[in-house]
Amino acid sequence: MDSGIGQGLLTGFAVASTPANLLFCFLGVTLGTLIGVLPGLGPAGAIAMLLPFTFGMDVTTAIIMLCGIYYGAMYGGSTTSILINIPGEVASVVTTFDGYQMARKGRAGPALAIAAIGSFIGGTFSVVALTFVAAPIATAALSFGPPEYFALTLVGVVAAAYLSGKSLLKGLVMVIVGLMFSTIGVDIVTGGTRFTFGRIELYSGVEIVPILMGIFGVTEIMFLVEQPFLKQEIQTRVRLRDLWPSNPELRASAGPIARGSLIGFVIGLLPGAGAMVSSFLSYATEKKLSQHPEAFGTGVIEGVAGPETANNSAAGGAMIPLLVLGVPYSIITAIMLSALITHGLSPSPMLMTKQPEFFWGVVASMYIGNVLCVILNLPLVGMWVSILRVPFAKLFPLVLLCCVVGVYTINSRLFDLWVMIASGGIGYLLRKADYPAAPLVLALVLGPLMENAMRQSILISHGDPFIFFTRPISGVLMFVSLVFVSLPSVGWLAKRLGGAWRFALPRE
Amino acid sequence: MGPGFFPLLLGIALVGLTLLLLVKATLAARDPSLSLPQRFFPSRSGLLKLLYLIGALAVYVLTLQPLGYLLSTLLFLCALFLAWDPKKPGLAVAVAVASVLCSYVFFDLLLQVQLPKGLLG
Repeated sequence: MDSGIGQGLLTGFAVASTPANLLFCFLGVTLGTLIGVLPGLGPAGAIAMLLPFTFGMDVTTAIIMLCGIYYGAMYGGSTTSILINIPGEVASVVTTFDGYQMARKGRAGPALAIAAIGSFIGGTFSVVALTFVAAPIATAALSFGPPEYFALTLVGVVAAAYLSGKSLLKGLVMVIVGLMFSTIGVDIVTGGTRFTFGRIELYSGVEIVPILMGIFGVTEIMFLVEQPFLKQEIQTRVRLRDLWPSNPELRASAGPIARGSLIGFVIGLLPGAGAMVSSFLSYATEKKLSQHPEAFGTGVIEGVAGPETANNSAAGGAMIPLLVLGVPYSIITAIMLSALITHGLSPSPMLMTKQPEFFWGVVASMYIGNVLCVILNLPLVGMWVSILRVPFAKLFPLVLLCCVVGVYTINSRLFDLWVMIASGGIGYLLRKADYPAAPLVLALVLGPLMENAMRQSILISHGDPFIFFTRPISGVLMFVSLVFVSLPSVGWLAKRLGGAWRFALPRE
Repeated sequence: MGPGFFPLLLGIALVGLTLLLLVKATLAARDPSLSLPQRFFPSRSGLLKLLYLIGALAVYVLTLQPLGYLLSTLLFLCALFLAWDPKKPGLAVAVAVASVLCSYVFFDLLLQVQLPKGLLG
């Protein structure tokens, strides 16, 4: 087993260090950082914008570049959190609490440095853990049949609905809408068309990229345009020699980074949660363990080190369900799955053994990507900050231009562009009404997988729906989904009954 | 298990969920302790900007094939630059021209995207 991993990594580094792959990893990290630094656009937007340009590449190169974009955008997001108090994406919201306060106290350099160091350690830890955990999970998953896959996807969408918004009901509505969109097109079992209204453009199903660009590009721009533009106070005086944290700061950060790595990886593995939850959880843990919890929020380095480590570690953890099971649990990995499918590759437990060059190449490129991120972000932080000085009025039309060209690239047809604009408008209305977009996107990608697994399961059981509950693994997963769905109503009932109980008591 | 089974299940689930939301919203509306939600559009000028943005995007898509990439993109960028920063029209047009040429070199020549040629083709 160990020699298998060693052999695999050797193969991987051989694949990842070819000039073309190194170049695209570097390009991905650079472009990702660039987009991540732009306010409002996070990793999902960055990947969606650049996805169409990877379609012409070799699969391995494409995924290596997408991973690079992902890491780069995460780094870029923490830079803006610390320097201008605008999180580039949800996972770095927590970083603003203490990071921006540190910057205001003149400690922007150490905050940026510890974010980069933590991200590097967290990212590397999770890639190492991935290397060791992937094989056993793949072996276990070999026995999974359609009912297990149905249950895995169900847990994924239900957990996303539960964790991504204020209201479970609204999250579930978005899941259903996403699944409904996924049924558009030719039905692969019977060959008949569904919900196409005679449009040839819809026969092969809805194209995912225009929808992503609409929701993560156009919608974001709409929100930014609507608000009166505020001049941000930018803490720019970051010199290279001011970057290095002091010894007490380094000592204070060691614990949070170690715990953040672990928290991030485990949370990243689980359905629904991902980078955002892991960063909040790490912040809460550090605050609880701290000897001075009241100082959190005023600029303590632990509050930056922990969450920044955790969200990058979660990125690695999230790759396991995608690469090993073929079931993505986060938006980022869902976008990557759609990229893989476009390239004609569907991840499964057999991926590691059948296509070792791809699997290990991608894993090895993550080690390289993490190193590149640190090299790009620490010494060049001044350059990224200068991008923030480009006025917003000049920036957003160019972002829209990139979205339009990106969408046009896929099929060279205007239909996709109309889908993008419509999705942008719908995304805007949904966000205004507190309907979260993440469950919709996840359900859209998981939909076909879910429907096929359900049909095959029912076929195996000759029409008995209890097949999902009687097999042990799928039974447990179905139970977990049920718990997620019933948690809010249990809380509501308890409150109601508690209230009634108090009324029934005689008043004193 | 015909092709309509999964959509039917989804439809039933959606009807159930929206009914629950309707009940919840009605109950919440009766509760005076809950404050009114914030306004849907924060300001009139914000709404006008949004409509202008969407209009510009729609015109861009409509003119993309007849006019070609270079001309339609130039129009689109000028429309947005000028509207957001009307004080320096010369600079806006210059930035637009430069962006169009740079993006053409990057997308068409470097990445080999097949952009519509239109009038100039």
